[in-house]
Amino acid sequence: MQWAVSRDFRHYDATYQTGLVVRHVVSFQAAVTSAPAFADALVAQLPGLRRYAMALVGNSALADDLVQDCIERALGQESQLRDRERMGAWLRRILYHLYIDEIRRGKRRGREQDITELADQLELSAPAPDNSAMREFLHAVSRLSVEHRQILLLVSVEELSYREIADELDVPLGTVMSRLARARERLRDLIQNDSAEIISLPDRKKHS
Amino acid sequence: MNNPHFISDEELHAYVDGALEADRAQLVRQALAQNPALAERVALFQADKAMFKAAFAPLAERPLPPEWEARIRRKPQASWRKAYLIAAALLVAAVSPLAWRYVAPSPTADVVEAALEARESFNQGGIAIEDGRNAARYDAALRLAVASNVRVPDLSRMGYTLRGLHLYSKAAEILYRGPQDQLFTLYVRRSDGTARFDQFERRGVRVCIWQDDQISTVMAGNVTAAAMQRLATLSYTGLTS
Repeated sequence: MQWAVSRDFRHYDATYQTGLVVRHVVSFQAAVTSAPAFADALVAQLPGLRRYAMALVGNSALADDLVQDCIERALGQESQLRDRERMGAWLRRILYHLYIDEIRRGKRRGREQDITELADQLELSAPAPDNSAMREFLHAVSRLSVEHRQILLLVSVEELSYREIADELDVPLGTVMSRLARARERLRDLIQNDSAEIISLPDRKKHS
Repeated sequence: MNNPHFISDEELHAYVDGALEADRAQLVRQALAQNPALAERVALFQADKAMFKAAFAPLAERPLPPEWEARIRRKPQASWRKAYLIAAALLVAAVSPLAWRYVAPSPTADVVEAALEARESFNQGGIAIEDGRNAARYDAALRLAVASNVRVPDLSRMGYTLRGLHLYSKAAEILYRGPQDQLFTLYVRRSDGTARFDQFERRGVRVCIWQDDQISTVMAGNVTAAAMQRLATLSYTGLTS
């Protein structure tokens, strides 16, 4: 009887440790088998992410730098993505913070105003007669704060609901509504009053 | 402010985005019908929204730099390799103590040195005991490890609580925590047949060896000589009772 108890205990100990190992191996296996799916999902997000970056910063070279940094960050922080359905929001958040860091570091200060570069490239969908209106519009957009540009992009281009925007920005719904209202009013004000004003553009030699 | 017909700016923009509740949207439509200036303002906001989309939405159709996707696709291979390396390391780390415990030959080194080695490698495996409810099972484990009819001593009379049992090949270490959370260890293994009793300090801790022709016990802790004497007596008698 004593041996039976002892063997049970030994078996329990071995089983316990083996169980731990199996659990670790299984979780690693789950992580690695999901890796291709993560890559696929990330690749699928790239066109939208790049659009967001270009619209946000207004400079294709800087936007591409940010997307590239964002990819690296996303690959390194894959485990932090809890819901793959919300990968788009997750990536935009990473990119936005990278951009804010960039502005804070002051490395490329002022480049965010260079949104009219997009108008120069005009692979935009506006037909030729509307180009001048588009250019004026983009001038006005370039003078918005990053925060205002961001919320207008999320609602107008990404077509997110207010709830989704609130979740993405981690702010209350009321803040989304008031920020959006202020952003639209500001944009309208810029279009109506300042469209003729010529704004100075920063040096773009580095990325041209 | 409490006027139900008052339309805030936020509501006006929610109307533009189709995010307004039906009854409030109806109220806005009525206001727009009655107020051409307001209707023009809303129309401009709607135009700006459409312009935003017209300007930026097509940017998603631009070709992407091919190196982006290549970079992303490279990641899984590295991840697989890394994951399996970690898994293999985990496996080795987990299996090694088991192998050491059950396969390694009986220690032939001095029992005091073996006891102090075990004490210093505390936390490297072993079985955690949260309470004394499984005492019978730990007694059985101790008997198996030492191959002798011994049991886990109860030192609660001196304020020491059983905290852990560390099994080795043909030896075991029983761990207690004292009233000030100080560690007291009791190392037990089969005796070489000689009798021995001594108390001294080694490696900064007080040690007591109590050995008869059946078992060898080494007690170690940061306690006074007098306290060690009482603990040793309680341990030895409890072990062999």
